[in-house]
Amino acid sequence: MNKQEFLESIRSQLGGIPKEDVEKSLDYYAEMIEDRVEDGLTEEEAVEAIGTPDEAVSQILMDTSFAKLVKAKMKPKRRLSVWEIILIVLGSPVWLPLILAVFVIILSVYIVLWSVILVLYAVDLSFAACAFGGLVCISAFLLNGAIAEGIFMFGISIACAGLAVLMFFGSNQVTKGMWFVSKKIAVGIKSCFIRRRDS
Amino acid sequence: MDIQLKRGLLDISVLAAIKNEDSYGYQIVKDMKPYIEISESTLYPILRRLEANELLSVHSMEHNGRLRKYYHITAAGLERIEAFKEEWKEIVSIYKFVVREDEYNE
Repeated sequence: MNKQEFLESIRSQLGGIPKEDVEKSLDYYAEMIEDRVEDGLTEEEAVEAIGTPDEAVSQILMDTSFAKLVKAKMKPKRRLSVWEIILIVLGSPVWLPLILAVFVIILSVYIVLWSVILVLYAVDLSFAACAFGGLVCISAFLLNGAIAEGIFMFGISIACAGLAVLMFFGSNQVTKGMWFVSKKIAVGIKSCFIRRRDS
Repeated sequence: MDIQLKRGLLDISVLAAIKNEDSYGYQIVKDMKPYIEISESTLYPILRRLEANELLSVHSMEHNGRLRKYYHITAAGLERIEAFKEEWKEIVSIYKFVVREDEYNE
């Protein structure tokens, strides 16, 4: 395979990806081949040393942002005929809700996961509020001469403050974990798209 | 080697390859080859990522009648290498601990 064939093969598999991104990638591979040729290899040997176009394509795709990948996938490879457009429009009551449903499900999973985080922090905040509220109560008790109740309230305030601090650290850990899981899910969805492109 | 670990190491190695003077793709691969296996296809996304994170900058220069991209390390890139050296000390001490357990068992 010569340089031209190698680059064309990459270009043809990157249909739909923004032109300037594709050109940048091709420039890079062209430069790599030319540098090897300058180093004394023939063009064919240089291309072989760089690997297969498929390897290059999958690396480029893995590096492309998810939004661009989806766009590339949605973009038809050729102009659609009138009939196809009519069919797509007529079929919209079927495919539009389906696509929407998929996105809404993914979205709701995220919302549910992050609501857990929100609830944790809300509970934490309420513990902190209880601690402060307790202090106000203490002064009210003491002003009315209710010493025992005042001490009881003081204990509760301290317990709440302690729980608030502990829970803050716990919530932070959970948030970190959740962030990690969210990223994993995003990568998983992305790799689904890439694998389907390869086949 | 663990993929995440190798990915991090490759990033640092690429920065190290351009630390002393600006370099270009093929030269970087050649310089790294004796130490860590890397293909052109692997290098490309790394360069793009490092550029996006402003750890290196790219400029084109003419070479034999064509343009060649040269990669220049930024101050942030140099800092990243220094940070890596510090992190590595920690890893070495963990390694020593792991090996010590081995010796204990033998």
